[in-house]
Amino acid sequence: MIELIRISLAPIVGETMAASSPVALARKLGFEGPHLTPSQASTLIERVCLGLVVFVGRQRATFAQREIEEALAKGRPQP
Amino acid sequence: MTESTTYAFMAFANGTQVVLAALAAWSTALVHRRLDPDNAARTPWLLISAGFAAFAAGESGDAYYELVGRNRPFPSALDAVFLGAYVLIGLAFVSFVRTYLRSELAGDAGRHRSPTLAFGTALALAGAVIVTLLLADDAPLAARVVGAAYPVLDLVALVPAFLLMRITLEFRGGALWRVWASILAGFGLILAADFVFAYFTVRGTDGQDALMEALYLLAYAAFWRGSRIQAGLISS
Repeated sequence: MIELIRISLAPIVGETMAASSPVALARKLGFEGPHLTPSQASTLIERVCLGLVVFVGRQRATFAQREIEEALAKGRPQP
Repeated sequence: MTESTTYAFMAFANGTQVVLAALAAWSTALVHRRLDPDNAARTPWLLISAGFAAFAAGESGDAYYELVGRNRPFPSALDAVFLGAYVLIGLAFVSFVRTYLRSELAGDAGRHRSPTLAFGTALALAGAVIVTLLLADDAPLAARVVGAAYPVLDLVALVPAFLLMRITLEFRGGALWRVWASILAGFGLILAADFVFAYFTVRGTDGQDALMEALYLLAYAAFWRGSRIQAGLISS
């Protein structure tokens, strides 16, 4: 899940931020453990992409969110 | 350089500066327009666009004096335009910092506090020395005050610029890093040009016009590059 977010966001925010921000945000939201429930995953994706809005606008952030959700729905490898 | 080569270079540099600053103003205005009305980043993009537009207006006036071969009066209304540009860009930087630090992606803002305070203190000391040197000059008071205002405004705007650099350093490798590396490099070049001017003013020598014009040219090119990448990032 975190890996999907990293892959999608890295071209915009760089590898470091793309890898660290979802982890930090998950901790902030109180999502513990290696695996997230579907509802937690959805909240995390939404919050990360919401954070992206001020940098790249809603359209681009929504596109990134959809990209992550689609990849997640396709059952790509999860950490 | 011969006189005609110098004239040709100055004409080229001045003309190109106007175009590049105007393009930077246009691209940042596009960013402002493309963001949703409720996006907090709209205000800083508008402010920076106004700052670049003021630079373009100031450079147009500067180019006129350069091309007709007359010395620009100093201080003059053009200085008000240039100093206004610094104020607008400084305000834009502050506004960007406030907006970006509120984003979920920025993480804990507290980690920037100590380095920024230390940097701000160092700049305040440097500013005090520079102002003392510039005001001690034997030029008319208005010229001394306006001459000192440039490096002072540079230093004031450098504090939020430093903070912006710290925030955007975390975007290394991404498109947002290219945006801010360019814009902040442009600001650094403006700073360098202003300090070259202040240094030679204090020393009472001139003849550094070509160096300053080259630095301003590169600065506006960097502003345009960063603004263009940001505009493309929002539209794509």
